[in-house]
Amino acid sequence: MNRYLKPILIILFFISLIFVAPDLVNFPLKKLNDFFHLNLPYFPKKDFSLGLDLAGGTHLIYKTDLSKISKKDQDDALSALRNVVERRVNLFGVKEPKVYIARVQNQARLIVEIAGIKDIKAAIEMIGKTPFLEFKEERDPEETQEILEAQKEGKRLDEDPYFKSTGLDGRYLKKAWLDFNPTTGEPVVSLKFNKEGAKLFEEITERNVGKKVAIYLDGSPISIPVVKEKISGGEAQISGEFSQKEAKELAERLNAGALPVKIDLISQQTIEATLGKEFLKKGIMAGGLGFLLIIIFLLLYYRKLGFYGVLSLMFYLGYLLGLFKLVGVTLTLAGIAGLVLSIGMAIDSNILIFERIKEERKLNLPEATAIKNGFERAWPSIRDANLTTLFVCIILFYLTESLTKGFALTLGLGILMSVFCAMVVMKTFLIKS
Amino acid sequence: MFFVKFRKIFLGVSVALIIASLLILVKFPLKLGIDFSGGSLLEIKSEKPLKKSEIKEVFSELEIKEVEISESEKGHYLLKFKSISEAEHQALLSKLKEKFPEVSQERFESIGPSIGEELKRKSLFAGILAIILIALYIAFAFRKVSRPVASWKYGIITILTLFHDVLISLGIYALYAHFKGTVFDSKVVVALLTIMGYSVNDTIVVFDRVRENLRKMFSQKSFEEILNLSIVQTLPRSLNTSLTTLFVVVALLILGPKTIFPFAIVIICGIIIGTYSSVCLAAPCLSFLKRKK
Repeated sequence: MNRYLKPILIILFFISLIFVAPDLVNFPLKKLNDFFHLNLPYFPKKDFSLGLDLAGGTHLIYKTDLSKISKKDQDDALSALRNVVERRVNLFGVKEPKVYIARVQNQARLIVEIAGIKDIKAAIEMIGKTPFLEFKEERDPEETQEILEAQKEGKRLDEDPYFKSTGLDGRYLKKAWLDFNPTTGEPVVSLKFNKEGAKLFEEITERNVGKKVAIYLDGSPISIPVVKEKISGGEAQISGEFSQKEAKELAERLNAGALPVKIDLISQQTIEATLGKEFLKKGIMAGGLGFLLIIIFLLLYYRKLGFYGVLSLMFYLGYLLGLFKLVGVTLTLAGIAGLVLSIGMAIDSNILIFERIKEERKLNLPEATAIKNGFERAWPSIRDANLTTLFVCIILFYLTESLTKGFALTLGLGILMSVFCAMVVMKTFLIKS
Repeated sequence: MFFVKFRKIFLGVSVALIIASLLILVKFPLKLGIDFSGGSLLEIKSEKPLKKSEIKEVFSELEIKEVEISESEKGHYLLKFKSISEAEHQALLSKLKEKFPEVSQERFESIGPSIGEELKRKSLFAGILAIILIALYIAFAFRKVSRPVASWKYGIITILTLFHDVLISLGIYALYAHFKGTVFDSKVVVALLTIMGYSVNDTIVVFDRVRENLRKMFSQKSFEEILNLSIVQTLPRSLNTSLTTLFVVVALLILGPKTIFPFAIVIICGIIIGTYSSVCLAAPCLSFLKRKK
């Protein structure tokens, strides 16, 4: 056995412990600094990353409507949507919001997770209210007639009889700003399209000279100007009897994100921070009680060996929590449950080893040999038994939704760590002595 | 020879338990949680006690006909109803606050039916995948053991005890759910999958010992003797590990938040049944599958 291993493990344990609870060092340091007027540096603090259900927050799932976007543009549109919503949520000043697209069969979903936010209602409103900008052109009169007729009979109700989509929408917007009409002086919103948008706009205006082009915001027309001539250069104006304030707000909203894809909230899970705190407190208390019971059991049942079991369990918890903080595992309520459960299961490897050592002792072997054999013979069982639980964790992690993912992650990492602590940490301490 | 001798009795007990569980599941079918069926869940807190009929009035004003109200803890009310939009949610909150000024929202979940369908599919897939992977792994791990029982039979028995553990735990939970009004949701699915891992874990340790003992003393002892010896040798470990795991889950049950009660209940059942099946069922049943000499 490597003689450096033991000190390394101990040092690593204390580093991990201080990393988990910096106040253990910072508090005495502060006393020292205050008393002797020193200027010793403090240990940097890093918080555990808490999930929505513990920190309070909201988990939103939006359905996206891709029916108007051609297959090959869908990925671009979705990533643009993600970026816009992320900018939008960031404006709200929350910590590390998560915004991502999830594919479900042939649908795409936009998922927004915002933790540690007080006014969830306002956040939902803000995401929902983000404008959807669209340019539409006139339909043929016959088509208009056809739809109107159908609507009289209660059919095709969701279609707009007068205007149809041109494909030019918020996706192609580069920026928007408040402007004034040079002749009338009334406030307008100026738009600048990107390259593709400019080309589209040129084509649309070219084929609609003398006709109306409608600018729709969130599904209703805000301005229906008549096209006088083909417009190149990709600039347009929306004039709609705005006050200066309204025009400015609209420009800001368009800038922050004219949504490139229509979205619809289909699921939300919201937990207030107070309830989350209670969950966390209760989870920690339960874990503490379970831990205590196991320690008592180990010491009573296995005596001296049990002491090493307790030691191994301490290292287990110290390392594991340090690892969670280091890689930023998000702790959810399910995650805490997984962690608590893993404490109970972690001791399994130790018990397997202890029982084996006891059996070997009965063969009248020298103590050192009995211990060595115990570790060796228990290994196949430890490996096989933990691998199957690990399989289940991996499946859970990849297949389930984010709130139960935490469970799989903490339990899975816990299992790996428990095997390490039993086979490396406990062995190091138990064998030499 | 206790365990192998009474194997028929153990098998009988297990069959009876399975039948009882199936009957319970038929008689008291589990209600799906809103994460599977779609719907809304609103948890509100109130300093003063609220009357259910008054809460119902608020809902009927908003034309939500069915609402299920339960008091989860003192002053905490769980309201379950159909899936609603954000606008309806805000309207509901303001109506509630108008009527009961001291009420505040603690938690709100509204899940569309399509999300529920998806979760159902995913959970089923996860369960099947877990079983297949475990079976393959066991067949692999025991590939060198073929006398007097073929290696794949270890796999079959492990999977059978897995079904046994999951089914009986589910049956007991259905009984609990019937009387306590809890539901079958994704937390219960997670608990069941955890039981699968645990059950197999427990069984494998016994089988590992059988494998080892077969190698050492196949020529000296009968297969039944070896089986019984293996069970006796691993018995302290089986009991102690179950005990330590029970410690933490019971701690969760006593001190943990109420929302993980169903989870803890299912896990506790699974641990107890899983320990029973790995000690009294798995290895004794191997002798049924022994090749005729």
